[in-house]
Amino acid sequence: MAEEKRIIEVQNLRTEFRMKRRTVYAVNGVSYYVNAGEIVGVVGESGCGKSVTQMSSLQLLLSPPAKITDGKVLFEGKKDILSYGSESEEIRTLRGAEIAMIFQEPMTSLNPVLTIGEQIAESVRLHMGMNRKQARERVIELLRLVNIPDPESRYGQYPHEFSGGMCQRIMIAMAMACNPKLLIADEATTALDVTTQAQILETLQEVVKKTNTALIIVTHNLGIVARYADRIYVMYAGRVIESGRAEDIFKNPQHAYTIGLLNSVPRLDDDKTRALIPIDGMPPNLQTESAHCPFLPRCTQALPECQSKGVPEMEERGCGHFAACYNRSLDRSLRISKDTLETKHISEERILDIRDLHMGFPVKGKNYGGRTTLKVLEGVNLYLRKGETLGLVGESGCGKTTVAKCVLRLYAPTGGSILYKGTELTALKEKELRPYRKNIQFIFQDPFGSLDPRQSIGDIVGEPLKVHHLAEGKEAVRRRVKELFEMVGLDYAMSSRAPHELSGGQRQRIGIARALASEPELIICDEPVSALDVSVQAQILNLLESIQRKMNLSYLFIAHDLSVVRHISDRIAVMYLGRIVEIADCDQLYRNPVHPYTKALLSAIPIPDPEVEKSRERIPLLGEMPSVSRRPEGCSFHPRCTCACEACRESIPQLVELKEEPGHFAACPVMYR
Amino acid sequence: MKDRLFWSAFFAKKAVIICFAVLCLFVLAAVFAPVLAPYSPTAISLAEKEMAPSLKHLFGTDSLGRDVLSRMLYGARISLSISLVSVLIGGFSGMILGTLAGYFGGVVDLVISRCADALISIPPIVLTIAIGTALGQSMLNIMIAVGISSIPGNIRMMRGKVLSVKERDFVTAARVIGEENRWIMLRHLIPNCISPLIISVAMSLGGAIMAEAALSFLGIGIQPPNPAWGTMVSDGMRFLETKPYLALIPGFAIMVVVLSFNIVGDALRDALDPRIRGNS
Repeated sequence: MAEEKRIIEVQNLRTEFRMKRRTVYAVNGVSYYVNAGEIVGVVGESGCGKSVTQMSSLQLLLSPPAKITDGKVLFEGKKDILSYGSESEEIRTLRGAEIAMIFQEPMTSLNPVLTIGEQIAESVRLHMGMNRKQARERVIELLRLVNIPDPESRYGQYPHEFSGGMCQRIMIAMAMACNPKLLIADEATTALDVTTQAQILETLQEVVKKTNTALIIVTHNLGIVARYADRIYVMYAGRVIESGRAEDIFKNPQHAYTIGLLNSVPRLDDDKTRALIPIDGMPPNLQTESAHCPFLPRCTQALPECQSKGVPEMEERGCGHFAACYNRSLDRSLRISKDTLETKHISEERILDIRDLHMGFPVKGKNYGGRTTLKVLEGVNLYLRKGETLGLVGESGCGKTTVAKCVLRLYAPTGGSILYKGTELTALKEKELRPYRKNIQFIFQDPFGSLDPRQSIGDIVGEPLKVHHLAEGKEAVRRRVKELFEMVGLDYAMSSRAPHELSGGQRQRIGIARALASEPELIICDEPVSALDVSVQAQILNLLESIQRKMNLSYLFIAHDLSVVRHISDRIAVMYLGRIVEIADCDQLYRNPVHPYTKALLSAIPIPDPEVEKSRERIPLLGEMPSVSRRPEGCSFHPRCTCACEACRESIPQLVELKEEPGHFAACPVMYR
Repeated sequence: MKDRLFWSAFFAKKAVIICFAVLCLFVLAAVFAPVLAPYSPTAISLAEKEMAPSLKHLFGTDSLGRDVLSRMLYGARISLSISLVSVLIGGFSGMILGTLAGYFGGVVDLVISRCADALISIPPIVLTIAIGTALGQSMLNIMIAVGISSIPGNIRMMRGKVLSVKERDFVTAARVIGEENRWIMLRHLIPNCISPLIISVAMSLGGAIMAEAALSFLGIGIQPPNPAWGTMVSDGMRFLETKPYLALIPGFAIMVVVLSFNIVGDALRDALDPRIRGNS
């Protein structure tokens, strides 16, 4: 670092939310700084005050209820910007021109009735006083900066004509419009696909380094900060509990919470036998100012002095590495074997056999009255053995969930067959299907949306029992529901609560309990942990694994996060635009991915370890996944493939078994060479 | 336990307690009208016509010398029962038809929605008159006529809500469990879609009282000399300048009842919703 120019320095920031009956101490004395050209990561679970801290420093919170009670925010080492009023002229110029923010939802942040060019030009003209023509040129330059192809013609398009990833690029362009000195990306890539996420972050990194802008990445994803951040602040309960260079934090974490986080996330380069260690409990609700270390109730490595000595202060543990933890000899062993779990029994019997599955949705065509079919699935072949977990991965829109919904017969497939233990499900009528409903269950991505807000959680879990007459009489239902609650680790005393009174993890447990109620043999899990915090994610993954062993369940596990899939799956199928492109044993696939798409997907997943990250080869994906309505001829992947040949453009490659690896199938002609 | 939560949420606000008490008072007055009324509501006494309120006639007398208080008490029986029953008919049918249309879609939706559209295109008062005439004169027929004219609006409201709620994951979850359509509609869709309907039904009570008055005015509704609030308002209108109390007293009663129903309806909606219930 030749030049150490401080862009922003926050000192001892405190923010409270003063509500009628209670006060929430959301930010409790946070200090941090960011230098020019530096990428700083802020990580922690949700509710730890990451976003509130950023919003407070710019005075973007509504007041009341929010109140900044203490602290200084020095911008470029000059005046404390907190001394400006929250709506003063000074802070508004600062916000638009010097400091810019990018939020999580790109689609809702853009105005749908204005072209994207006009929207970006607006802030350019406002803050830089350019005329129309100059502004247009500047906008095109910006679009080029964030790698939007063909910016001249894209200028006049509306937000709905762009994909989510493209919209996020536009947001970045808008944020960069006035050459800000500081850019804050608040969970900016969380809603995007892993491949798009990688592309966006690469773009951000490139833009920031090119323009010497300071960047704060606020995220819960440890992999992202490991790959991109120079320095990291770990937050917990509205405090920074550890800070330092990325390498130091990951290699030598000095706070029990940081270690807990690292232990709870699955890694792409893991040993298959590593068990996840969740952090039990939940972050504190911050309604009282805690007298001791806020992490103490969840800490497994607490010392007696943690209880008696009050809140620990940040102390230097190495060059620029600070931590607030009394325990100086923390156990950092990341690897604990899964040996404690019962062994899996995978039999050769195929519980589910999907053959040449086709699914099309009728849509209105371009011509008046014309109808075309949107072909989402184009011949999917899969089978699932009893007791095994098959991971199904791919970018969103590739048809993963459609496969699941076809198996559940929520959709009637347009072709092919689905055999459940030899019974053809596609031919059954709704009434005949009912007995099978008991055996095939579903766990949803959004634990809240899948629970009826009007019912108590006890009733929700008891519903399948009533529908299938699995327990007769109130007492029998009650007893069984209690059993199910205990099975998923919930207290039955909560059973009269409504779903909104639970935390995300508890809701997902209810979803699992409901799925287990009818004693199914096959459970389809559609992104069951992607909406959860990392520590809770580990709890749910462990729960799913232990139930599987206990009840000999088979899982079809749909997810976009390959490190999660790798952790839980026995075999993995990779899907692209309605076709399976590669299917193999979990280890085979990670050791020797054959299809270029699989390779690119794997390389897009960041590993929470900066040292590993540095040495990894990154395989970029060209462009974005096209919509199924514009499926390319031949191999669907060829326009994005770096090694596509003539054959790829002409014929559709079939799944072929690799000679040297039995059970490893891939649909790519390149592998024959 | 659940019931206690419901009632404590229902009576969380003072206004609700007052309005609920007012409604109870009106209902009691209607039920005990024969005991409470000082005179016969139909007894004509031309010698005492158009008398201002006094101790003898608390609310005065009308143009035929009938005691307004007695007519108000007896009128409460007719007006309250007609308005309540008719909005319940309208609300219930609208709820069922709207849910069916929204949930099943396709032909079911087409038939129900087009019928509703056809009914909406006719002005409600004309529709009520047409149905009233077709069915003939009786209290039940008036209730049906007034009720039917409110069905199309309720269908649309319910259908729209069902269309959005049926796409939610918990409905999918119910289908995955293997629940029957009937069960899904009754247990999941209706409870989650009914809030706007409750509000709309509570608000249409006043309209129902006035619709009944319009029918009476046209000779299809309650016939003189039987008292009803709506008829009393329209009769009293002629004397608004000289004897304003003749229209104001029943008008005020209608206003109080409708206001109370609205507030009680709001409270009912909130108390039924566990999310709002938890916050209050």
